[in-house]
Amino acid sequence: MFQKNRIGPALLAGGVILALLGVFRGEAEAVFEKAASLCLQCIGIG
Amino acid sequence: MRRRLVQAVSTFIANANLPGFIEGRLYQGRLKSVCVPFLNCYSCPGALGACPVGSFQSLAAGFSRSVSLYVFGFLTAVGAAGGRFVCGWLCPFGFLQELLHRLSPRRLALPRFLELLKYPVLVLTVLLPFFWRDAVGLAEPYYCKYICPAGTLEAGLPLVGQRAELAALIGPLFWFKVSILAVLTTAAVFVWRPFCRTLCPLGAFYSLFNRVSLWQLRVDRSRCTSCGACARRCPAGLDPYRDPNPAACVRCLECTQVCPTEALTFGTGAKTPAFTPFTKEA
Repeated sequence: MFQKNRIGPALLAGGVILALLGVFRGEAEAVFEKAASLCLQCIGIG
Repeated sequence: MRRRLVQAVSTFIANANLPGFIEGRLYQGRLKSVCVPFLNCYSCPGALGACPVGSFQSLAAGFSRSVSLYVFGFLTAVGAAGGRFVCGWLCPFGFLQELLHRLSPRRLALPRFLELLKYPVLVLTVLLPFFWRDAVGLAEPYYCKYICPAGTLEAGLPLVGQRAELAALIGPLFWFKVSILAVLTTAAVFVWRPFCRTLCPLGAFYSLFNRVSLWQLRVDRSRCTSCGACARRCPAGLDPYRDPNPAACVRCLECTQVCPTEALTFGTGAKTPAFTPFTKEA
């Protein structure tokens, strides 16, 4: 009744690699710029 | 009880910029470059991190139409690790809905087809910022703008209540979003986590991983007596002993607490359960 789970670890590793690639591309800085500013759309007046 | 504590601590840590609530100002330190794994508006005065849905949409909405590998990879890693575990244990808006649900002894079931709504919401959340653009070529974070009740609760109401220049800008859109929040919070009193189950794009995304995530619910068939205690306890109305890892499960793990034979466990390892329906052996 049991099967070996290879998909979960592969997706986990793939996700970590993608996230690190994004950080190296400067996306964390881009996220910071968005998140540190007031988002008028988010509060419903933009 | 332990889960409630974890949810409360998670809610507090995610929104620990307490002076922000008093001053009506956002936290602007470097932690804001770090995504939290759940829906938590980054325009909330208390928010220390970035909402992944808002971040993904905002970056996609720019001129460059960026697909954020950082956000997508992060969410994929979190989902691959535990599926919707984040929903059940860490999400502040899920926590709020559960607290509201404790107010009423009258519990209503959610029609199953409504749970499918969150998948078109996910698709539109991801795709619209890339394709729905104005004459200048810019898009907007449409989910945040038109639906997100967490943003209305955590950012809209506190900021509009404190800053007169924002209150002066209130229009029909604001009241539309407040209405969505009011409907969902009222529904949460009678239905268990209605927002998470019908409209949350993040919950929809994580649900895609429930069957393949590293951490899984397991049923030890040799111990299970098919008593049905887990199904009676499941707040989402699922049958963990028949199918322990469906997309609808937010992994609150309450089923593991009531199993009299400890046949249900949540964990990782080299092996995970096969997804065959339970059949009682003769």
